[in-house]
Amino acid sequence: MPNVSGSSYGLTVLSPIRDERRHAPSPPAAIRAYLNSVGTGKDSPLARLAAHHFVRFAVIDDVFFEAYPAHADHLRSPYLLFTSDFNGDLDDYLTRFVTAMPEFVRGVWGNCYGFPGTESAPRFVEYIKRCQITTSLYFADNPTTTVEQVLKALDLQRKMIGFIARTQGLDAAPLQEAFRSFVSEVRRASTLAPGAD
Amino acid sequence: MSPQLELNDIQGNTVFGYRFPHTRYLFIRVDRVESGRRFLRSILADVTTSARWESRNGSSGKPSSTLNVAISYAGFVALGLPARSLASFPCEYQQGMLARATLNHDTGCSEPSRWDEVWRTGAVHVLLSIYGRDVAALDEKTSRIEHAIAEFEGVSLAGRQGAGKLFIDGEYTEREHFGYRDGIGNPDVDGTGVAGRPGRGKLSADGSWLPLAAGEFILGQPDEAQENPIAPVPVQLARNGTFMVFRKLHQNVASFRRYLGEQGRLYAGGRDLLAAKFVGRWWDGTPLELSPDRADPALVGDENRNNDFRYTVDPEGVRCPLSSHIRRANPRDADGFGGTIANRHRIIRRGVSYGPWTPEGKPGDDESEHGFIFVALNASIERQFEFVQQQWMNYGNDFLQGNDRDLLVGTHRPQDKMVIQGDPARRDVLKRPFLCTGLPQFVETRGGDYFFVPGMNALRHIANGTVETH
Repeated sequence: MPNVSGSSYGLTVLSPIRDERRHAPSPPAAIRAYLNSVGTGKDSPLARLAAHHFVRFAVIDDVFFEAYPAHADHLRSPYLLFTSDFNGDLDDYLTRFVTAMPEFVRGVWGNCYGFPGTESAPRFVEYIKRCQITTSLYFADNPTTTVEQVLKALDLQRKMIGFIARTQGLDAAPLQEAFRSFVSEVRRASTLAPGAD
Repeated sequence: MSPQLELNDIQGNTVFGYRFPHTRYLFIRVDRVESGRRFLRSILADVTTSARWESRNGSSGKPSSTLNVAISYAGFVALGLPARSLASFPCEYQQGMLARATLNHDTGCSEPSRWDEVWRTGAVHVLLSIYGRDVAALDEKTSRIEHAIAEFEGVSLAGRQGAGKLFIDGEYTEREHFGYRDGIGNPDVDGTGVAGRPGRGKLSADGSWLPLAAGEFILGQPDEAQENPIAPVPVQLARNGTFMVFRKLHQNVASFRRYLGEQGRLYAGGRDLLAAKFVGRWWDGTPLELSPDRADPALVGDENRNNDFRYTVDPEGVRCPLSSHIRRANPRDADGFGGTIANRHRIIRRGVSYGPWTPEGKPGDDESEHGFIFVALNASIERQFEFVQQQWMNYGNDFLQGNDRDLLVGTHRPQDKMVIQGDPARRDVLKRPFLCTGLPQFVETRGGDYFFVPGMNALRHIANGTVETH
């Protein structure tokens, strides 16, 4: 089934970029500069959402025909590629996306034809869906696990390693007591944040 | 079996290892092209090849000392190699090891700002390696070279490094400062004329061991991909040469002994078994895969047995942990595809310890000058040494160990650990895995670089300034 694999959705979006090369910086250069300037790791705007496994942006200037005979075969404008592997419903994801990081959305799509701004979530969702192309052969790295489940599992693994390191020499009785308090601590505790080390 | 390799043209201590107890490295700096070339011409006759030493008239034919020459990229620039040849060297060799410190995880305690000055400043243009049967032999050769240097203005001795087999309990040994016997797993190379031994080459489909294609190590020969490896131009420059990785690795003996002592008390298998689990061999070199419960002097003393094992019989790491040093350095058949992946990432090691041995039972210290001069030879530094260093020593994914690094030589972060897999067949505590956490940094890089070891004919051309490109 296109676009979907298990609980994972493979979104592929191509948005035409304004081709006003007389501007300096040109729109594609401005998008590149903006993407290079945003925070990384836990400081990335994308880390505000624990819904996506992997998000990628690319600026495509043009295509090049490499075979024989050479002929001109150009895109009508540069394109912004946006792909995301996320969990959940598409409309819901895109709404949460623009709500969580509106300034990032403006910085990235602000130079694209037809971008409606970030004031109306439904209009942003409609714009993205107009630019969406079908991901026809979608291989999801993690089809059955959500991002939240992965982050919780990583956190538990880290805590478990700490527990084993502290207690691996203990006798049965103190080990069992330590394990009981470990379990209740883990039940209360939070998960890892997206983008954490 | 006659050799197909031109042993007379390949420098020594490559396809066959020297067995001398003493070593000295001299670091030569060249400031004038013509002086550098004349200096090389003056020592050319002393350079040792891989030709076998023939005994005659009752003497063994083995010289009292040997001399070999390796040149860095900066050294080739200083020797006036033509621009086209210079440009044709691989990228990693041109950049040198210091520029690639981050890639090689030479960070933190191993970062270049902490290296010996001679390595920080890129002053080592020509690396001379001298091996000798005793210190007098080293001194004699050193003094001849120093006289040669003095003759030529524009050539200077930038530094030196002594090394040698560790002298323990009255004899020279193959052990290194942590106490392990080293050097068992060197690859057998095709075309040397010497029969291979099990476990050192590559696995064939019928389960027997074959020598590795010479091109994995010697340029101008076909390699395991059945290609002639990419090599600098012209052919005469590259032919019978090899690339050398030289790394001065300081060893924190006190930290290692303390850590092993503490963890050895917690580990139900005891200190010696734990030490064996770190590496994959007992102190004396007995492989865990063949003898998981005890060292076996008869086994390790037999060259036809001490390396004859594979890992697919132990996929859970019950005998030899998945993260142990030798399993990481050479996964053999554990990587699938019948071991063919490992065949493209092998290195020849010709390293030597430096500094005096700390006797057993003493705590030792971390500050003294002691460690290991790691020397690796390969046709491609990036595909062989650097791959092992980055993917297998400083990453764990291929061994199902996540981000964990090699316990001995990995660059550790606070969250790093080594998991010693348990044995599900047991009923006691050793059924469970044992976690080694809080890993100190046991090995720190203190310098080094990438060198080219030219064949003899190439060396003559380099010394005469007659390397030609069209």
